[in-house]
Amino acid sequence: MKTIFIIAKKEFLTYFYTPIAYVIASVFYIINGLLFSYLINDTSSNDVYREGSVMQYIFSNDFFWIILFILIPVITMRLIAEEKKEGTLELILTFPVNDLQLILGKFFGAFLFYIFLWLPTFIYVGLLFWISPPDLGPIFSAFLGVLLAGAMFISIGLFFSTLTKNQIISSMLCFGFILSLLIISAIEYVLPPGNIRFLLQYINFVKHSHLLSIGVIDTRNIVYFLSFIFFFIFLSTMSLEARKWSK
Amino acid sequence: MAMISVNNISKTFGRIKALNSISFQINKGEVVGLLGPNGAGKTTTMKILTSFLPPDSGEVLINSQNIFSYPKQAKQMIGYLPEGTPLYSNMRVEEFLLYCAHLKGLRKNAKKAVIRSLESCHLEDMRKRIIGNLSKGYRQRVGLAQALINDPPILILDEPTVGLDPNQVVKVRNLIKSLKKDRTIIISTHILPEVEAVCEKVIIIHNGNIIKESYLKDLTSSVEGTTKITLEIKGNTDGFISACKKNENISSIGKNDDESIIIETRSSKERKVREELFRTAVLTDSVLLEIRKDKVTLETIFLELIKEI
Repeated sequence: MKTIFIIAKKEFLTYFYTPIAYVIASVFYIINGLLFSYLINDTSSNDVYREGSVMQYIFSNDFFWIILFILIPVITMRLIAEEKKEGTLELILTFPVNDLQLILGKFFGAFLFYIFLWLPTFIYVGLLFWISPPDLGPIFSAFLGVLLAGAMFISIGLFFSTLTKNQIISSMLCFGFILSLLIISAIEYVLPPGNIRFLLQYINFVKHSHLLSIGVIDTRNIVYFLSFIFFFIFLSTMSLEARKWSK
Repeated sequence: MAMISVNNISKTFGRIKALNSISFQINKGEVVGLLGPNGAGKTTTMKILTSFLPPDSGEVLINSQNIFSYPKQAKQMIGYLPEGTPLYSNMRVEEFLLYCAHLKGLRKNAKKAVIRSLESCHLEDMRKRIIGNLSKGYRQRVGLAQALINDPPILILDEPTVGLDPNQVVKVRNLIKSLKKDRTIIISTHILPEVEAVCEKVIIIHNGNIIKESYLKDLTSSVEGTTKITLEIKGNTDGFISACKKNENISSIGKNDDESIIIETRSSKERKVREELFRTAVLTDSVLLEIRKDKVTLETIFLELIKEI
């Protein structure tokens, strides 16, 4: 437990050793800020009717997914790939650290950085209180959706980072995988009702996240995200251990 | 009692048999050189000893415990410097060492351990520097400091002086020597003088097999059956050579490319032969410009051993 915490802390801080953290954070804050002010302006003009609250849009509109699609590969690509390239993987795995501890440490390190990026959005909630008090319930459930979707994508990115020494390949694989998941699940719209359609509907993360963003906390949605997270953490650990069985 | 005991480990990568059922024992406090040409299996052996890779078959015992049943205890006892000294190049020296100390299970005394290992590797002035900006010699020392951080009884160093300039090589070697105390140290290298400089025992690996395992002093004496003497001579060279051929203590005589004469003799007679060579030169009316005994080096032993296979 302690070991996981030590690795997570170091991973989180590593983002700040390089310009990466500052670049990502600046771009992220600017985009979110612009989006927020646009939504406020748009909502306050009388002739626009918008279903749902401003924060719901910030936490799960199309922009949210576009940002996530680009953001996650960038923050996860280096996690293991860099260690492989520099050879430090060998160093750390010959410490009293096992493969799962390393993977979990990396996962939580990246997840902490992801949370760090989202924290300033609570300023928006504060601003909304100043304009007109919003309903807090859906905001928190939507934020839960942000965390879960982020964690799911991070676990996917982490897995692809274990496959290669090359950070660009790792990020492209992660981006490609997440996008394909979305595209495949979109096929449901052209299918007749049935089991396949139901399956495709189920793997669509936008739907699961959408329910959370409008304030519905359903265990099915949470289980969906958690099962992805566990599965990819398991795969990442296996992928690291594969060095032991490779012939 | 054997600190490290390796029993019949084999490892294959694809079609390449990296290790072919090798076994050896290393006692507590020994400094052992793992010697072999590139690709002999040194690094693979070290990766297995540090439980980074498991062997295909065989077992490794450290302090009589199987390292794959008790990896945590085994890893705790080993300080490892992997090949090429991988380090987190965007961290600062002190920060990095503290991270290593924490991961190796040091808690309250982690800071003390960092200071101690900085001191023993003479890195005090570099503690605030970013690792990526350090010279290779300093990087190597940071690697050693990392390996030493929890004061482990075993040190495994994979080619610790590769790529350093001669001055740094000497410094790192002296550092390794100062780390001996009662530690068990394994150093892999393909540089023979390095083994002579720091090790007591040598294990020579070639193509995944151990071709020689012996103490350094036994190794040199085992090949000391013959001694080579090189002569530079002026004047009646041919007369000198024919006179030498009559000497029964000289087993062979020949000419080098640079016209110097090379003589082989039994080591026990070597001193007497040199005296006789001087007299022969005087008698045959030639002038002896140089007479030199060639020292048996690991190099020659190594080449001999590889030739035998």
